[in-house]
Amino acid sequence: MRHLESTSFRLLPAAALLLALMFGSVHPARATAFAYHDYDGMVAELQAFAATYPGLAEHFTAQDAYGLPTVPDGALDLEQHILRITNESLGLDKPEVLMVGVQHGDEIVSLEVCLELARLLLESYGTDPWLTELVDRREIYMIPLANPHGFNHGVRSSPGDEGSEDMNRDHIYDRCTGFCAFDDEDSLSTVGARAIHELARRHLFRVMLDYHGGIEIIIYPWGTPLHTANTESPDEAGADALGLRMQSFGGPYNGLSPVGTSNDLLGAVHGPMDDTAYASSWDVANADPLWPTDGWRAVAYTIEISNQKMPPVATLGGDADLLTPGGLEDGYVPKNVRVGLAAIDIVEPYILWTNRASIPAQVGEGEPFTVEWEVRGCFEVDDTHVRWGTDPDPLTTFSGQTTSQQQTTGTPCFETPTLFSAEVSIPTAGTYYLTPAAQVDSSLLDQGNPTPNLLPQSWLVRSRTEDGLLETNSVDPTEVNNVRGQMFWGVEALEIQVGEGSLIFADGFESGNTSAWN
Amino acid sequence: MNTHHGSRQTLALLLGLLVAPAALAAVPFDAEITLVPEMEDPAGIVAEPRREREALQDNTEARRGLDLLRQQVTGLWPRIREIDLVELSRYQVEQTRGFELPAAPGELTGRVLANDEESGLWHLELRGPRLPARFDIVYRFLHVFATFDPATGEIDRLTVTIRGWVEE
Repeated sequence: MRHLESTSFRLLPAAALLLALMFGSVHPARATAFAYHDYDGMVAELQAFAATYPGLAEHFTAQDAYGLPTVPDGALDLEQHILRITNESLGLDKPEVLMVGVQHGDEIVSLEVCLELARLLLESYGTDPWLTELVDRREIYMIPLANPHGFNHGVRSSPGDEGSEDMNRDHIYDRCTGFCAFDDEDSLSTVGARAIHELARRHLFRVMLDYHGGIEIIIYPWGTPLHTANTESPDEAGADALGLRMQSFGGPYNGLSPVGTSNDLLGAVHGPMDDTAYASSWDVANADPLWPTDGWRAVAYTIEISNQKMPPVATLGGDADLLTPGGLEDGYVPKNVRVGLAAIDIVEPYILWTNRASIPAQVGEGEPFTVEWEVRGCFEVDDTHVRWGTDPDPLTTFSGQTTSQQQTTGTPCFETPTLFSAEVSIPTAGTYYLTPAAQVDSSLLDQGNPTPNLLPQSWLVRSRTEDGLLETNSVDPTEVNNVRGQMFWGVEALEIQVGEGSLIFADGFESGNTSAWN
Repeated sequence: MNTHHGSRQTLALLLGLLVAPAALAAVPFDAEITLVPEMEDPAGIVAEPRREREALQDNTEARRGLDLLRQQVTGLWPRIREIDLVELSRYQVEQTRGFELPAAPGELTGRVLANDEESGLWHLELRGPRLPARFDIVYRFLHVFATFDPATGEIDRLTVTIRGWVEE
């Protein structure tokens, strides 16, 4: 069920229906246009994803996985549904990213972004090379509808232990203490916030996007009263760099979204999701001790999608030209699907060897051949070259390398990445292994005057700037997750025989003899 | 925490004497006003948890205190208008620059925060005019906190600050 069916109108909030009737039909104007889902429609979508793509998508609920209570709503028992997208055949120890939608029940456009992002990744697998890489190399978790009760009633709040609560003040970092006129006091008293916490403490998310509606802005920590005097976090450089990339790749629809810290652009609140996701595992003195976790060191954002919490259907956009900022059917959903893709892409560097199939399997001593590659999942390329040696792991142990190249301007790792190229010649006979290697993003270590005065704390930055880092999360023994830090990144090494004789390609053809292709 | 004193206060006092309604002549116009930076807790003011607080809202004694506080704030408004809101602001500072409070406070929404059983003091809050922000979803208001002693009928601990919320 892709679009809103007439039979499911009963669950759409009344206010939403009214807005839809005022501003546009709930039925799509174009065959590919996006439309709003209700709770049942969302569940059906997630079930369909899992059924259609069994090796790529897994659907479960926080109630089933973590034993949380359901959220009663009249005769209904609502649940927090979770979707995981990854190529399971490649294992489950991959860099992880989390997307959350509809913490505020009336900001329903965020649900549509999550669903369409999931659909794009799954439907494009095997056909779009970049999106296929992302599904192969990442674990993408989504809670598209964190607050189903508020959603069904068209209200911001969620039922909690203290009555009707704002879920995005219910997380564990910088809890309100003492005089507390506007904020609730207990952490995780809403089931949705608890579901997010239970998921997070079993994982090591490197980026977290919390989608909202009501304004168009991209904000990141600091965003709590603790950090009013100085809004610069230790990971300001990384947070700002990704914020600007998401702004750019999201594109110009209704204007580029401003990027900055929550405290600078909006103001401070207690217990928000983004500061919790960033800091609560290392700034533990300011996190609720009742809910300890090692899972939260994400570069984290609140993504405000649209100036209206439920923008008219006509502004949601469609799925034609979805990857192009300002594309044919651009709208709030495509724009923010791209924001999500930028976040998924950045979580770990990787190298694509673009001419691996044409690298010779055998060359003469000193005989040159060309290696071409791209460096992805980064902002800047500080140093890249080809390494070779007789050790099967030439990234670590190598006897030769090409001249270092770098590109620290533009977007060398994204959209249309820089094609690096080097001529390799190995002078001495033997069996060699070679790989392109890249060091990236040292500028993410740049700091002004952060509070607290620490080096970057996020997994995103540390994993690419800190050799030897190893963090393991085994809270869920069935899925142990690791963050490994390394300064240089490579690819699976290629074996080459260097000796006398002609240059022989891996497919058996001699250099220059292309007759077999004719 | 800052305290508002000095020549500006004296000027405001004189102005206040000229404009204060006769009915409010008993208002201690030279009462000390404590200024607290935006979103910081006012000293000496406490609030019950939300559920307990709700039960206090209809208390007759507390409502009398809120009415008196409204009268005092209205009487003191010329002084309050002199407060440097930029200095009080911790967020939206640029948007606050150049903003002037209206000539009259307008509606002053009241809330009872707590009752100190030992001292009998009521802890009270008034919300005044909305203050500027870059985005519509940012709600900032001038707030006045005070205690009310039902035994003496006096308002004390008059504190002015900026509070609000974000509907991000």
